[in-house]
Amino acid sequence: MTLSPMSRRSLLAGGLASLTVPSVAHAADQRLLQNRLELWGNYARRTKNMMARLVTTRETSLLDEPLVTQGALVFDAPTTLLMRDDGLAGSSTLIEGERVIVRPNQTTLAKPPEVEPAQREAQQWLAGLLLRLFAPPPQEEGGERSLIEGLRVDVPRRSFRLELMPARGSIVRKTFRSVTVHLDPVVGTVTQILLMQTQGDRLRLQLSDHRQNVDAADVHAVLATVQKLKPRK
Amino acid sequence: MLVLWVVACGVFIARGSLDIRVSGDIDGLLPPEHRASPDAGYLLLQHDGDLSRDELLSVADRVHEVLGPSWIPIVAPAAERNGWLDAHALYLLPTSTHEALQERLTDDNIRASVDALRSSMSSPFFGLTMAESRRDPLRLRELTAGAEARASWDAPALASQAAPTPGGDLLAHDGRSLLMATRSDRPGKDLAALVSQSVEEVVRVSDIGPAADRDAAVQAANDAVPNTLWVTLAGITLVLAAALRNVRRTVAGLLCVLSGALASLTFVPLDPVATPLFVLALGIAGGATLPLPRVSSGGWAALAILASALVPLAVLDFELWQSWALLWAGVVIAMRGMSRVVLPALLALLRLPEADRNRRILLRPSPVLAVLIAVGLLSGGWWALGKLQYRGSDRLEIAPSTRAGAHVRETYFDPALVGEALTRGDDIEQALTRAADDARLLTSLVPTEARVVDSPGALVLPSEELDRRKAGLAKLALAERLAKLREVLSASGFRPAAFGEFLRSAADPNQVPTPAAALEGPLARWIRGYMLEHEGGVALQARIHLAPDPDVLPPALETPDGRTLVVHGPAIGGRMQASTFADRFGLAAGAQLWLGAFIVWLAVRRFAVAVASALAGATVHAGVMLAMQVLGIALSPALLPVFLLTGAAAVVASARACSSADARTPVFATGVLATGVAQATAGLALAASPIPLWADIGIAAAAGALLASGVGLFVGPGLAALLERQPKEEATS
Repeated sequence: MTLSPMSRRSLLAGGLASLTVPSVAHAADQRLLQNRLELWGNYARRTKNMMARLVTTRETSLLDEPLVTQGALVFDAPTTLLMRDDGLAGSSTLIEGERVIVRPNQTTLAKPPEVEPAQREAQQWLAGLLLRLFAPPPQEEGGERSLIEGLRVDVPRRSFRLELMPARGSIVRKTFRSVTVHLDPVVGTVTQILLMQTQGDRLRLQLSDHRQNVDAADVHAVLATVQKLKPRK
Repeated sequence: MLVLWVVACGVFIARGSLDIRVSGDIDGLLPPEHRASPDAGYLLLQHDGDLSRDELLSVADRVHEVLGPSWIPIVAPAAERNGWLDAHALYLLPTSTHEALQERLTDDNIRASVDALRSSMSSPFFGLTMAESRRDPLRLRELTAGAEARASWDAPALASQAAPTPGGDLLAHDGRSLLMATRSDRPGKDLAALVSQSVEEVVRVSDIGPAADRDAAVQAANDAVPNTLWVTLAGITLVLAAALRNVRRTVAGLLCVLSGALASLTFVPLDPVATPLFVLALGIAGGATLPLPRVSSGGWAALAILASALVPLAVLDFELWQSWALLWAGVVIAMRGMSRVVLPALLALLRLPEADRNRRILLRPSPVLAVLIAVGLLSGGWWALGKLQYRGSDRLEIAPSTRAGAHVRETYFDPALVGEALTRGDDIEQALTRAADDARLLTSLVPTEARVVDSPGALVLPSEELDRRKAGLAKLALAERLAKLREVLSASGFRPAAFGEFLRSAADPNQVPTPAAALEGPLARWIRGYMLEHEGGVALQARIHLAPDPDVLPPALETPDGRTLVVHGPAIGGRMQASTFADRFGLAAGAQLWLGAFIVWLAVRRFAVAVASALAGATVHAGVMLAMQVLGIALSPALLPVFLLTGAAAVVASARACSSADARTPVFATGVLATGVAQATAGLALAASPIPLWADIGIAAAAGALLASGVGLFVGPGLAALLERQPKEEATS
């Protein structure tokens, strides 16, 4: 069988196209990722502190229905993040650098069990990621990429989301499957964090009413309310 | 005579004396009951981040299949362990906690526990503790927080920066390495090679443990021996040539040393710890070929003092040195015998004179100088004795530490710090029943003497204790309390079924943690990993991870049924020796000095010379200690012979100098000093070897040999003169 000159040209063109499509797709993905990171960075770069309303929804096999709690999120750059539920039935989660403290708001209730040594890497992974989500990225060009350092990233098209996953082979995958971050398409604020746990739980943190760079005294006043929850040295 | 000598050398060579091989163990200085079992070891699997955790676990499963019965779980497999814990949560609480348990089961406290659980669920970090909350919603395990919790089945994981795997190995938290235990009569390196083939370079496999340490030490010693011997012989040649300034005489002396070495090698077993003694014997033999003044007219005293130098070690419980007490005498007699018998015949054949008289000097004893040197060195030695660090027989540095070994110590635990206590029984069930008592007794060692105690007995209860706990739990109306918990959970929006394992097992009075139940369940494979055949019955190990403080020694424990529980292991043996080393050292050094002085007295029949020689020996002991402190060398049982040899050398040098001074005959001072230099040369050759232990022995021996010559010449005669002058002055007055 022989091919006509036209068929050979078609075959050649098809082959070349099949070779270039993946690289073109990859470049498009990278552009999309860069676009999302710049959107996020535009807001985060200006953050000295931030306060927002927080609605937490946990879907878990332990409960008959999802648990919904209202509260506040307070960030004080560069390494302090507080998620505090309203009311005594909830709890407060304070991240200070590498230290994570979770305490019930009602001080008479027992604190949660200590995290086992095998889980500490997962704890540090999540704490670091939550801090990076609100902290200003490094000033140099491309500093926004510090958000996704050491992570696998998926950028769904036609939505302003970043799906962040632990690296392959990481022990963190035993605990957390992914963290999906929703960004405001105009301002770049983080509007929702969806935490998927490996054993099936889903935790949705919905943020609204963002107030960036408020008076430091207001932030410190909120942070002061949880000082008594900290373990004494 | 020379024909006989040549024939003898031929026989020595035919018997393989030229095939110098180091073999044997490295723990010969430890009491036999504290030596590590050569069958037990570890395999470390490492990768550079190319594998995920699951892939590494899959490789480990393949390795288990390859190893077969040679693999034993290092920890209880995670799922089986959790299953057992869940099923017997309440029975595993000691009766002393029942009051606190009752308090936790009140309506208010059940409600508070459930509220606390619910309150923490809004935290993103709840997932990290969720499994624990599901298995123990009332946080009952907190009641065992303390010593008893340490005796858990995760003991190796508690002692390390690693987590138990589902298979029963330990996985580093970074997922890049995995440690598994082996027990086999096959050498560890063979197991490692077998595993390496099966995993096809996906991971690096390293053999860790006592057998691996021994193999590495023997390999390092065999690598180092040829160079050390060549350097020693070259050094001796140089010293003889410089002292004698005669080529033929130097060659004759060297031939005597070589033939003595060949003779010695027919009966001396070389091992990684004692090989330096053979090298030092070459130095002594080299010095003996020089024309030296005799202690007495018979000329046997020096030989007797040096040959008996290590005899005091025969009464100490260092098994290796016990054997060397007599071996050393044989080596010295063989080597110096050549100088005494063959050298004169060789010199006569070569028509060489005895020595060049022009280089002899007349010694003038100086009591003041002698006292100054002796007091100075003895004071320095006394100061150094209080400051010298001690290195036990269990921590001798022979082979350089491997990266894999260092990784195991940093990431997992130090295998050298794991001791064992054995619980015997007619069968495994009886042994496990007794081990239940023993495990609880052993936990009293935590945290002072031990970091954690790893015993299968911790998971079961002895029958009496079981009855006590059963009776105690019966008073708590558990079924009713757990119904209340179910009700509160439900009212708070929880699904009680999610806590079903806890609720079911806690309410079932028939789920009891007996030895029989454990041996019939899925944990049996893990328990049998602790089992050893023992005198017709079985013995179960408890592995005690010792506290790192080298001064802490676990005491013997008396069990309720009258047995004595003793923790064994290289670290224990080393620490026991450390606690009594000063006494042993004093005994051996004193006995050697007394013996040397006695031989000197027999030879010269002068008390002052004998005492002065012994004092010279003591001065050298002190000088060696001072040198070790200055040079940063730790005191160790391995260095004990060095003190005895340098002490004996000082006694000999002093007796020679005293005899010459007393007879007012010129002494061949170059020869006395060159003897010390020849001995020091052997020490320096050891110091240049890559083996840290040999280097320590070599430096101490070199310092001691040089001191022995100097002290012998300048301190011995002076002290003897001082001791002999006193009675005359008193008589005059």
